[in-house]
Amino acid sequence: MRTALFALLSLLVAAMPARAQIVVGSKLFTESVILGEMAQEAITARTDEAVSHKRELGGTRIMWNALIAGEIDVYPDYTGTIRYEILPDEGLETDAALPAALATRGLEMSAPLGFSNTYAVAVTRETATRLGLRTTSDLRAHPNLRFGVSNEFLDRADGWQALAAAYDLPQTDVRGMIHDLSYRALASGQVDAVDAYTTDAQIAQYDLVLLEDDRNHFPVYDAVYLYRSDLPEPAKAALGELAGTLDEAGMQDLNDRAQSGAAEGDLAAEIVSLALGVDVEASGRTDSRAGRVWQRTKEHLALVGIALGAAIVIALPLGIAAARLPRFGNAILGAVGVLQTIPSLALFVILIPLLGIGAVPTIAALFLYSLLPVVRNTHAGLTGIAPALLDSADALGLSRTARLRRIELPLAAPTIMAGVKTAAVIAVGLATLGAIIGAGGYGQPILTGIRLASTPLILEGAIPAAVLALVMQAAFDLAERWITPRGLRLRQAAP
Amino acid sequence: MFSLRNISVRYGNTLAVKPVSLNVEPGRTLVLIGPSGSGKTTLLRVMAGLVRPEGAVCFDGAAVEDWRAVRRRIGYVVQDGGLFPHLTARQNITLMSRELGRDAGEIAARTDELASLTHLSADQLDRYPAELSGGQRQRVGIVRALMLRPDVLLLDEPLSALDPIIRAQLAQELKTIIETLGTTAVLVTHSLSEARYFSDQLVLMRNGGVVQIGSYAAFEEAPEDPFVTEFIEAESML
Repeated sequence: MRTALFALLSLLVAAMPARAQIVVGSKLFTESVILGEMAQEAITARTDEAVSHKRELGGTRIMWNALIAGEIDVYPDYTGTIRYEILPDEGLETDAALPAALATRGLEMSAPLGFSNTYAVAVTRETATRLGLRTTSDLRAHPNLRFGVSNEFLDRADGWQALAAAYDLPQTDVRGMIHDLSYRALASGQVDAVDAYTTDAQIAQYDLVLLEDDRNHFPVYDAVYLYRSDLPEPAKAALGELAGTLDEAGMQDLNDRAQSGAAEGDLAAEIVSLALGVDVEASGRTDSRAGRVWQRTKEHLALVGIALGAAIVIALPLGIAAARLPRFGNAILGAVGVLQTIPSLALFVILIPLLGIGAVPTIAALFLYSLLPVVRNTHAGLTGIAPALLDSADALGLSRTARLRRIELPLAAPTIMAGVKTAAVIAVGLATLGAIIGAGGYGQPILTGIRLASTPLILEGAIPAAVLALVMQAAFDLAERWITPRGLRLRQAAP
Repeated sequence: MFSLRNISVRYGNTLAVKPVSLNVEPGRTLVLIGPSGSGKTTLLRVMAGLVRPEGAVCFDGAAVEDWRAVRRRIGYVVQDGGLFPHLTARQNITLMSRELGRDAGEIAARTDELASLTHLSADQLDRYPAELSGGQRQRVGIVRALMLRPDVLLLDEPLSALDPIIRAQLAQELKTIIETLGTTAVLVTHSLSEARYFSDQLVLMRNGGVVQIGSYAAFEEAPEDPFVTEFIEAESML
């Protein structure tokens, strides 16, 4: 069994691409991905280091933890976000206080890139005209307005709570959603106001009106690169060369073109080529759709397969022990039951400090979620065996081990198999969430598709994921028939 | 063969079997009889090592320490055979011999010998329990119990699930087998006719206690308790 586990682990290591020397990360929105591409291209152009870019990793907390843990070396962020969301307890009055606060954590930041991406409340032009909205203060007169704000904005210290307090806003209908989806909700009239990043391309696309921050509530959000102090000096210098090269209009233009289908890498290459004065090529991703889907399928199967394999190896003995020792059994079933109730996103975030980002924490999370169905069904299958049969086995003189191997496990096999099937189908679905922390798989095109409002891209992930779940289901149905002893299948037919 | 000394069985606060002492003579057949809930099956399960009693169980003159060693010298048959549904009749029969690593030829020879004794065909041996009739399942159960040449055969209501004609046939076969092999047997039943047919010695139980021990003739001629007469009369009335 230990050998099997070891084999699984080595398989896992082999399945992961070799780690590049410098890893750039980016958050789950278009601007961050473009800035990440820029960092990768600039460092590649100026150094001999191998540089990789883990795109669309998730929110600020995930990025920060990954940077501290050394899973990534660089990522783009905004000074206001660092001061108010990451380090709210430090009471940093201005951006000038940031370098010292970062230094105590072994981090540094680059000079500002040139543009500031602050928050503003956005409404449609129609709403602005009808209600006479010009400034944020004007919102006070309309308590029934419905807000759709990005999840991060809803939670963070400098977000909705602070805004509502600063302006005495009376609105109570405030819903959190993914930032890119909030614009769609606004356009379709499901909400009346959203939080906007001032460089968002959608402001122009949907002809939105940004309400003036007349109480100067929002701080400065200068775009910078955050990186570890141990980043090689030439790489730091390369990032420094990008300082001041991109203003607000330029960033909004890049965002707009990315939304319209331009590759982030190509957009980044334009800026980097200008800034560095050399011809930079985008790190190409010219795969065909079939090639991409095949690659995602391999990643997805690796995530699910390794997690499920490890879960079976652990859960089977746990289920057997739970059936043998009732008191221990209650504790075990309770514990794996509690694991199941941890929200999956929360579990991913909890695991990052321990396991980093990428495939490993995703596999760990899928493993933990797979335990319950297998443990519970093993327990149910074993305790459901007729006592008379166990008596017969004991009276024959079979040892406990022989009884388990020859009688109990074969009789419980169909139930155990059903548990494994449940775990597999759940894991196929949950693994799509792994893309948020850089695990790849079918979740990657879904995330990108949401970000770029591209239904074909979303379907490129969603359809294979659904098909894989169905294939799994069918495969396990076959396996269940195969593993069910013939004598048990006859049971129904017997008089 | 068996000697139970001051045996009692307690489930929580209730005494399922009140203190009893009993000897099972080698080569003889002892029948435990009584109404439902009288403790007769529990007492049989004590002899099979499936229930741990208070008091001492002696087998072959020595108090039992290691039940696994003793169980190989005991054959145990329950109602409807207690066969493992995922194994064929043959696999059921040979399971323990294979587990003990006995020679395959020897196992096959012993299986054939016992199958012919119980009128089981080779074709029937290769069926699963669900494909056999009740009487065939019971025969397989008996063959499985006899496989390791046990010194004692413990039978828990072996004929109760069968219809009358099969029951009569099997009763005859069972008696022939016990006599042919010279096995000691303990049989639990609630049927007085089975008790009369099989018993050298008869034990009547009621509410966990022994009412009378003796031959069937003694039960009729010298009942030690009004319940003995009542039990016999109730049986003969229908």
